[in-house]
Amino acid sequence: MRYLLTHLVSQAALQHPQQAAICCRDETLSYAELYRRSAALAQILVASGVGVGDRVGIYMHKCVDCASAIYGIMAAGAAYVPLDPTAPLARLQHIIDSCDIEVLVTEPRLDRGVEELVPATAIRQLIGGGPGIGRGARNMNWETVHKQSASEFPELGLTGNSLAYILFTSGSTGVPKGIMHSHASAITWARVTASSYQFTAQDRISNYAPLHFDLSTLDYFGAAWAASTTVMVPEEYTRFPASLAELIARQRLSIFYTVPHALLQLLQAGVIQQHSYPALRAVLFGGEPIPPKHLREIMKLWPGATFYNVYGPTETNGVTHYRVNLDELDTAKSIPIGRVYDDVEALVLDSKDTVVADDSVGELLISAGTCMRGYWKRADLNQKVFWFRSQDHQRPDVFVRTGDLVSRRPDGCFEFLGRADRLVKTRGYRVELDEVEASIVTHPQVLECAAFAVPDPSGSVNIAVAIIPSDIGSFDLSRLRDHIRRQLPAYAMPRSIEVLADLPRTSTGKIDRVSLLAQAAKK
Amino acid sequence: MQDQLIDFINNELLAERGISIGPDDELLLSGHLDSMAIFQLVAFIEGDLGLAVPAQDITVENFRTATVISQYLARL
Repeated sequence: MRYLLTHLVSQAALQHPQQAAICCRDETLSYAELYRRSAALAQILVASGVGVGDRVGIYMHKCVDCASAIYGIMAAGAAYVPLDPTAPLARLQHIIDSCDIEVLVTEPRLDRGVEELVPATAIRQLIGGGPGIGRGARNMNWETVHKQSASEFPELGLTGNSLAYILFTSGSTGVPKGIMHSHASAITWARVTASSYQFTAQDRISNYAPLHFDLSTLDYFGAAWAASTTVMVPEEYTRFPASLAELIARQRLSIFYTVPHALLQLLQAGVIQQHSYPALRAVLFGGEPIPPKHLREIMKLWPGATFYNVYGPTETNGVTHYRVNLDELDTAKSIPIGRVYDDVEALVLDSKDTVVADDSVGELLISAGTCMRGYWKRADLNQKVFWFRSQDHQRPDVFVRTGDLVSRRPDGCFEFLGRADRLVKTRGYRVELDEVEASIVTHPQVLECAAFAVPDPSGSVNIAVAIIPSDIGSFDLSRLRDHIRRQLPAYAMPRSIEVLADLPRTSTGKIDRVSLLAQAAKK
Repeated sequence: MQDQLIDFINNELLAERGISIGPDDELLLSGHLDSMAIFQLVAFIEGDLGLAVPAQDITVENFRTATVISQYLARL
């Protein structure tokens, strides 16, 4: 019986005690040891006053004890809240205050940030800080946690409805919003991934994404569902493609789940060819669209792997996936997001909330067991994001609005067409910024591209574009302008094109359009 | 060469954030250098120091500290 995320580890520890649960750098924890450490942490947290429904922060770089922290916090009845170790402290302080976090699980590498956060917040207990840390908060180091004897998780009467974690994403306005998932929604997602990609105890699954990015839930919970091994990709490897390729080969990863940006970096550096990857059987990517021309080159370099485009906002978890066929990439303009997983109902609605016909554009709405409980303390947003279909007035069906524009093909496959809020009006014309990007990136000299709308003094907007060329030395801007002129109507032509060595990124590897816009607005 | 590297990292890459590093300070685990900074650093090595760095050599092993980078460059 597995209805809580903690059951995944307690059961794996019973059935596969010596199986590797999590690896990071030279460290490996078996499921038995992960269970023991999580139980020890849970005991300590309960003793320090953490209660059912409380929120406990995780402020850690990647290391094996991130897993002990996740399961230990949930086993103590609390929800874990990952804090991005690279985020500005003011943002973290906002999240800590909003979640009333009093206990923070951390590690000595982040002592500097902790020293500033403790006096500025209600944090009273630290787990895992370095020697002498605190300034008002108690601290217990990881060695003490590891030595604590504990044989099982405390019995607290949690249910599937209990809050498991809150992931904060930056909204388009820059104010972080917390997405609440219950044990039920997360474990449903774990089961869906494990069965869709046939995870087994032999699989070695990457954890590329940081903990505050929802991709990490597949890496942890999907893997634990099948007693697979999660292999963490340490942060510095995500910045060095040559090292990332080496890690994938050396760690014999069988499943690599990542963002398009990482695949593009590997391709551009020309490093995939340096190794062989006999274990690699599937590459999953999601979070942003990937240009077909680049995906085609990557697929040729990893011929033994099946490639899946996976789609789903943090609010719903994954909802569709698409198995890419190499032959179609020569002509494809974009890659579909595919069909919905079993047990997912998808609706495509127009602006009047009427279902649109196949092949017509509308907003995607999702009803599934993987959907969130709602936004943390944001009744205003919850009122907008949930949509109710009252066929049975006693029990209306609850849908989550994704804010994504899609069209459904007659064969049930979905095409992703951009964010609803990426539709802008410039000098009276409606322009889809994602369409501008997609047409620019078809140019052979363009690796990546970001389009954004810069407000002008007249109250309208101008379209601006930043690009990364595939080779900055031979890049010819006038040829790119000609190319765009042939692709886009005159009103959608970007007013400015900036050529950059790299684009600003969010900590999750996505293009940071808010920061691009802020830079453009300063000029 | 090591001094030139440290000067570049401190003056060009880290100055804005009010951080400065010494020859053996960890550059990567600390998160001091993001991917843009690494790109700029490689461009500096190739442009100003006149050394060609093959893509497969731009690794976590070769870029851990300023000392490690200059030892790697000396082997080129």
